[in-house]
Amino acid sequence: MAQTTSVATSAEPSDEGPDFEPPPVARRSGRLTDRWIARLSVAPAMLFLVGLFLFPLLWAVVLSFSTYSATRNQPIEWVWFGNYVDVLTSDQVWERAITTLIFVVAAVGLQTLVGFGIAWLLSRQQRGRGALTVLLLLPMMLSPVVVGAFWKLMLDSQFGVVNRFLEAVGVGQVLWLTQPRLALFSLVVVDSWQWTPFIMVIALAGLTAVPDYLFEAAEIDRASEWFKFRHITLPLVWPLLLIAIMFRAIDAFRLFDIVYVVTGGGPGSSTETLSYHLYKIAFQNSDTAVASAYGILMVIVVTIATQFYVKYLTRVQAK
Amino acid sequence: MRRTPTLRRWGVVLTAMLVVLAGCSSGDDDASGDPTSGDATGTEAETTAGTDDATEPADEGTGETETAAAGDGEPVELSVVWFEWAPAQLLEDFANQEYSKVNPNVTISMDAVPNPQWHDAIFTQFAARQTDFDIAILDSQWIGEAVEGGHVLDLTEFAAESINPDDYPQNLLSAYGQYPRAEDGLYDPAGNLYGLPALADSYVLVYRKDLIGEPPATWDEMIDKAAACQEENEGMYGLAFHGSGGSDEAAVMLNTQLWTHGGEIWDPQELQVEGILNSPENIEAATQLTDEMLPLTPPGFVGTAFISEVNAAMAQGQTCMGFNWVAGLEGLQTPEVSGALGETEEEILEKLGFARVPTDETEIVSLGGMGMSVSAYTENEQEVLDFLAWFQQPEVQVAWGAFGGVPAQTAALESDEFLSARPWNPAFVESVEDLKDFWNMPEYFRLLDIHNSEANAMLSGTQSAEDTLNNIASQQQEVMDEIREGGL
Amino acid sequence: MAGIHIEGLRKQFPDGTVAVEHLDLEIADGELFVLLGPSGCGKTTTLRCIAGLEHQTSGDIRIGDQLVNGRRAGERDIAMVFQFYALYPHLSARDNIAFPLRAQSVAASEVERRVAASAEMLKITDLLDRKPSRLSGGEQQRIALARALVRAPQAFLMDEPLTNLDAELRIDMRTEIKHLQAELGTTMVYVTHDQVEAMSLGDRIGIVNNGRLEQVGAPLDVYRNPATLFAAGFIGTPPMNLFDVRVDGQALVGPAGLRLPRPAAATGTGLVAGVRAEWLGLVGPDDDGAPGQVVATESLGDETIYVVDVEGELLSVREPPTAPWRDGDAVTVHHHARFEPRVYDSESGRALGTEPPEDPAEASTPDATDRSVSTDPAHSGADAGTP
Repeated sequence: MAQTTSVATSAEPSDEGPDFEPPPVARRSGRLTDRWIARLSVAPAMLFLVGLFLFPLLWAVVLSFSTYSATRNQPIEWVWFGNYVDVLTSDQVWERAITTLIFVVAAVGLQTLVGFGIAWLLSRQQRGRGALTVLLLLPMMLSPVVVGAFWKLMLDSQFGVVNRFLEAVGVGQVLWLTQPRLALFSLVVVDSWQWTPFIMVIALAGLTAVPDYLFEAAEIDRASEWFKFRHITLPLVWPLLLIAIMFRAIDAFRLFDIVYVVTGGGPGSSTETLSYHLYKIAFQNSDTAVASAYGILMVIVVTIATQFYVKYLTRVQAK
Repeated sequence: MRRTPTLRRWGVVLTAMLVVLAGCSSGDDDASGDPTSGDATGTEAETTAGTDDATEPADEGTGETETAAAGDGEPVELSVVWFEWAPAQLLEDFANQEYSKVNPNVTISMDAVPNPQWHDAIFTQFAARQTDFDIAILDSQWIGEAVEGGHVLDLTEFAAESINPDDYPQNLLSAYGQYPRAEDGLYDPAGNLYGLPALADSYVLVYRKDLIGEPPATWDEMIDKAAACQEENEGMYGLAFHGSGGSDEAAVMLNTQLWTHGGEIWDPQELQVEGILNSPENIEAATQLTDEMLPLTPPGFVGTAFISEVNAAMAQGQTCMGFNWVAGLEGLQTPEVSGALGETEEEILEKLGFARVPTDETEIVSLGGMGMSVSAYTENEQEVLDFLAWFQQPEVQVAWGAFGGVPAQTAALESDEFLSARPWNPAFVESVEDLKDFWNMPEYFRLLDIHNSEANAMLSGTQSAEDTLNNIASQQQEVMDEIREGGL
Repeated sequence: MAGIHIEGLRKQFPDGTVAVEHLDLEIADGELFVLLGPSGCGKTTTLRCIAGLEHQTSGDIRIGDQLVNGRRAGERDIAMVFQFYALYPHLSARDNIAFPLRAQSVAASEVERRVAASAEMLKITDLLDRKPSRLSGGEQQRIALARALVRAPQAFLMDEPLTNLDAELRIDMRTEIKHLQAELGTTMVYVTHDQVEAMSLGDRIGIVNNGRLEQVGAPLDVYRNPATLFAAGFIGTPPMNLFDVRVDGQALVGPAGLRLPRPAAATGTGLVAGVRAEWLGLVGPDDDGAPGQVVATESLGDETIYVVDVEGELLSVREPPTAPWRDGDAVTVHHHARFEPRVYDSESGRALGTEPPEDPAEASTPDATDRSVSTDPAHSGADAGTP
């Protein structure tokens, strides 16, 4: 058997020898050069990118210089940077910016602390870690609107399960959604409930990637638990954690859905974020041009912030 | 097995030609079941549009020819956008039940969106200059925005032929259809009409007959009774009213308070807010709201309260009295909702009473309700107008009242059918001539955003009445100043 | 500095694997002790138990006069060098070396001084600012060594520290480690599977197999007198020739009538003789001895190893490079009379006439060497690294 097989295989090349055929990759239409095939392959993706991202963005830039309103039939005037000046000099916008900033810092801070903490505990847990991780990831897989809707019910001051529980343990009623500070804090809690797992799973990836022998070496070197955490765990996981924090910060900066569902920006406008304010200008006031300028300013701010952040990140990773 | 590159290329071209030919032939004789043929699908779609679903934008024919076709028996579906609440279902059921007797070819389909999306659902489509609805039920203040954008049909001429303005309480006809609106808030025969009433509405007072006795006639009496009721009934609160940050929910409550106490929120003539809204009298009235009335509500309740919250508070026996929109009360009389108060409707109505809103300096009551406007982009203009004409007929309005709706014609409102249809209807009728609306200009949302956010902050107990009114006045004055400049 | 005393050590992992069956060991203060054995024999586990990275199932471990059974690694004051260096990847070489000092909050100036001193000792001063990722394997291992000795611990524990280096570097480093240990005088336990490394480094060697100590002794003692068949087969290049023999008067007779002197203890049946390659010699085909045929030749320059087929038994024979034999030549193997073969009981695998290896009498004779072997130039392959 073996004999015949080897004969057959060895015979084939000699049979094909004289008019050897190139492999299929090289056999292609004579008219299309590699370069054109490459261009054609990228074309659909480029079309999508241009059609769904670049064009709308540029169109928004154009609109932002005008007085265009999507629902009003009025002649368009060009005001150039007038809308930008209006947005940047508006007290309301600055109030929203501060609200947003407080939210981003508080939410991302809380998520990082708790997420890293849970990840650290998980990393020390061998048995059932997989199942536990999946369970903890569940909130992330829900729609923010759904999350907002049930938290709104849970935080209801009259019927909410949270207050019922607090009353049962004697804390009394807490007005979660109708006190400005508390309402913002409630948003932080809701957002953190959903997105802490994101930080957690990335931190967990970082933590499990730290080899055990480093901790053994540190143990031999007579390092305390805190010293190990401070000088080994944290520095090694930090670069990865920074990426997670960046994603979360950008995401939190754009916070809309949870505000829309849980507080509607209230009480007053105390929980109105930039995105929510932008939504009101664009879709309720129909000031499309102002909204475009507003949106573009937000993109610029995020882009600049991200640039600084990425620089810092590359510096940390280079270390 | 092996082919030269040239042969291969020709093979590809030939195959492509064959596919194209196959596609053409199936398009021609419509007999081929070849699923790869694009033409066949296209033909199918055209056929569907022509026969089954006339609301689809069809290529053939103009509005006129379609009308003729409809008269010949082509079924038409008219789509209406409203928000999700009991009257939306009522209207759809009523129209399909009654209008089909007149025109069996027309069905009405209601697209009821959640309240916070109501405005966006309509105006994003207006912005696209293409709507999948034929009739938009607009909140009375949005008419200006819709008219300025040219998104709704001018119904002035149509109305001149099909309705008699004298049949309507003049304030309602104006509020649900006119733009710009006359200063006295009454119907102006010289003005244009862009909508016809769909549902009238107003604030009414819901109260516990068994605890309060006779309903309070004046504002101060209401506060006293509420305080006494709260005092006497362990675990209960005196009052419930709207104050949520959504839409105009907190704004209407603030306006109600100011208007009943003789105040105004602006001077439409001079476009002046500063000094009017934050007048000492208004501040005093608003302070009564924050200092005397808010403490009588369940803690944390008002800041997020709207129709269903107030209904729930009453149905579960949490509060002695509450303000709510008449049209939003639907269902409150039933054991399904108010089972905590009684096992039958009779038992429940022994406890729940409905009265017009108490008075103070004035008898003004906040106006709710809305009109039907016709999308300027409808494909079914004639059918829509035919339906509107039918709906505005006096006997249909009476039937609408008897069906559970709130009609906007005097005769229907005074009919026995209406007065006995729902327990709160007499309270509404008492309020009709005192109903008052606020701005319906295109800047409505900018003004409302300020008004409602600040009112919500105040009704959440986080901002004093004086600060609230001063904040609103200064911010709204900026908007007014812009309008004034724009007008010059 | 302190000696290490292990009594009745047993380590069973949670999954049931027994890594260390039973182990008693005395390591003197200042001694360089090598634990030698094939992979999976339990030597690394023993070392980790001494370090405190694993906790024994039973038995006692003392460092100096301190019983350390329940103590964590950090409380045992030992330093350890790992097979994979275990440098902290985010820290420079300097910070790596300083780590144990900083963990103990040593003053900055003192840290600097001691880091500089260790760096000096290991000749890595110019590498101090680099990250481990920018250092070669040998350099990383030097950093790891510097980190271990920056602290003056009770003992050094070395877990196959040279295994991942290339051959040449390994020989250099081995010399250096031995030199450093001698200079510092600190007790060192060195784990390796490389018998050449063990021979060249250790003051004494402990051969571990299947979780037990097979033999403890000075390198040449272990070479000359392997206590068990396993030790005989493990130590030496080539390993000891092992073949069945029977008693014939004052002689032992092996394959093809190969005659060996009979040690006094060799009686009875079931005997296996252990004969080093240099104890055998080759002569022409018709001479006295066991006839055989050369089947392989390894020319090492200063000597040649012949593998000779004697009645189906393959025997290694060490000859000077001048020996004339070629593959396929018919030869006669004979035993040099001045060497006495080792004789083992084939059942127990133990050498006859020797006490069990745990016997302190043999275990504590680090300087017991076989003069005849150590002077024989032919054994140089076994301790090439010895200075």
